[in-house]
Amino acid sequence: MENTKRILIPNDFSVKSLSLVKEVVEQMPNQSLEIIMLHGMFLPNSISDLLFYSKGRMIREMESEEFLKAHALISSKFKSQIVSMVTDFIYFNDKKNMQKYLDSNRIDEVYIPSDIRMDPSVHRRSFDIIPYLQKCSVPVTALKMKADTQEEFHFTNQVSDLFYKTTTQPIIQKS
Amino acid sequence: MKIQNKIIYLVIIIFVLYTLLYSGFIYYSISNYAFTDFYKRLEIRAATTAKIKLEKPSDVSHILEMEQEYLEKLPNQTEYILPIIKGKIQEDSLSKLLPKSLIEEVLDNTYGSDSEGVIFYSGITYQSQNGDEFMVVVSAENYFYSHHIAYLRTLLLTSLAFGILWIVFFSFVVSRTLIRPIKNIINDVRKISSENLHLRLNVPKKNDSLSRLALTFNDMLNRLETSFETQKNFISNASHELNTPLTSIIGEADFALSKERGALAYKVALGKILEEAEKLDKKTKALLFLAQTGFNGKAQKFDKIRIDQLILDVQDTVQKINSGFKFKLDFSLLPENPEKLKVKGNEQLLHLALSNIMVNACKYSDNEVVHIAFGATDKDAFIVIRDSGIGIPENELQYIYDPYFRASNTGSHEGYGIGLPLSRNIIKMHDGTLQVNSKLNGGTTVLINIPIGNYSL
Repeated sequence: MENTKRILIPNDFSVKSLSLVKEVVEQMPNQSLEIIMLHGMFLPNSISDLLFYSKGRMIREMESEEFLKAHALISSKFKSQIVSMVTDFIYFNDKKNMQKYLDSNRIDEVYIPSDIRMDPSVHRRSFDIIPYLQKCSVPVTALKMKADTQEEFHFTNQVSDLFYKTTTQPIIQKS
Repeated sequence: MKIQNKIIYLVIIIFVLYTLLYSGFIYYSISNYAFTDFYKRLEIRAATTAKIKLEKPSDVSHILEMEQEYLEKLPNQTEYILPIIKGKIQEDSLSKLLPKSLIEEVLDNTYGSDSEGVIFYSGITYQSQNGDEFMVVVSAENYFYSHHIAYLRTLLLTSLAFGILWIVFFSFVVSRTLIRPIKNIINDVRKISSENLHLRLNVPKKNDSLSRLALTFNDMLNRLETSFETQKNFISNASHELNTPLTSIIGEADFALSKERGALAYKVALGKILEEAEKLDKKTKALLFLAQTGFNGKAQKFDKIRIDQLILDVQDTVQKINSGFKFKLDFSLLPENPEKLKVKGNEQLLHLALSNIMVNACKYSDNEVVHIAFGATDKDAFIVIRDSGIGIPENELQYIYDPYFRASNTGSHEGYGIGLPLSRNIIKMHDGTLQVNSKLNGGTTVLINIPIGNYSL
């Protein structure tokens, strides 16, 4: 197996963002991966909130049961490939800090979905990190994700969404 | 006798016995103490009296002083001084006032004590300095015995009475609270009969014997209901599925026999009949296979089952029942570790549960392709069955597990509303969950979660 690659995938705590992970891992067989699922969120404004702020607790609050199930499914499916899969927050919405984050975490590659938007309303302080990711100097691959089995499944954010094969073609690749 | 009353009586008896023993012991030792203490005091008084009265006043002035200073007169205190002549007491009016037994006791032991009602006597013999012998007896009313002990007695008795009242109330309350969950269980169980076997007992939240009893009872109901439903399910499946080929066999034979035909026509007709009969045979076998579960007379055994193999088996069986059913399997999330495919369960029951859901999916989507996917986490195996059929109206989703319930939009599809409750029961027996998501005319997704058995490699 080649050296472990560190990749970053935006995450909005939905099963959809995990299916992106699934696609990415499937595209790179025999490649061990360290995956960071990054969510953009401003820090709270009030001092008391800041005082009791805990990233771990915040993440636990935002992870729904479905998300955790899907997470467990994927990690058990790709056990030998995925070295680690962690959720993280970034607190600044500018290019400079994003670049810093990518550098300090030694991210090799970034994968973003091209046709589905990350849900910006997960939390009231959340923001979309994709525009800033695209500006940074790390290879970004945009994947097109669409269910091909049926026109549209009405239920989203279910574990079952993970299963239905999505076509993914890199449509934009920027380095 | 009601168990509630039994508890009350038992508690009361225990309490009364204990309190009687307890207060009886206190009463006995206090009164005993009061006797000995008072006799001692009288004896001292007798000794001082003897000294004062029988010796020269100048010799005993300090004793007299002390008596006047410190020894208060006891209630009804009387002193008797009787001369002893040749070891005997002269019978006179004074000695008649004293109990005979006391006089004898004092003469024998140089000391004696006795009591008559509340009057206590204590006597000693005394030899004066000039050699005369006297018997000195002091009697007094034992105020402590006559008043305080009586007060203690009434105190103990009233507190006993109050205690009994209190314990009756207390045991009543306790037995009510202890008995209530049992009563609830009894009432719940009374409601359950073969007609509404789907009802379950409310399991109390506390993890005690009663909640375990309720859980065990619910488990038993699960098993009972499953075996009841398996039979019903077989009948409903059979009546539905066997009808079609039988109708075509009868129709074909009828048509062939309606007039004289050539050999070729008979051959064709017989060929069709054979084809249908073979289908019928396959269906019967598949149905019988499904029907064997639950009431085959053997104990339900829980074994290692590979879920992926099970899904393939079920697909095979279901397609034998109706060859028009189409499935698309998605094993893309199959875990790398094959141990995670194994669950602990009863293969026939799980087979039945899955086949019901799969048949439903095909039936209510008019034989469109049904997607079946399978995956596993570290703890659970997931099976997803998704169709694009008529779905279930949202306000009816809550009733889908009620036996014989059929959604309002199922008019054109045959069925009896038995399959899904049965499947859910079976999944429940395996500690799993069955989740149905559906949208009217938008298809239905069934997600089954079964915990993975702990098998080591």
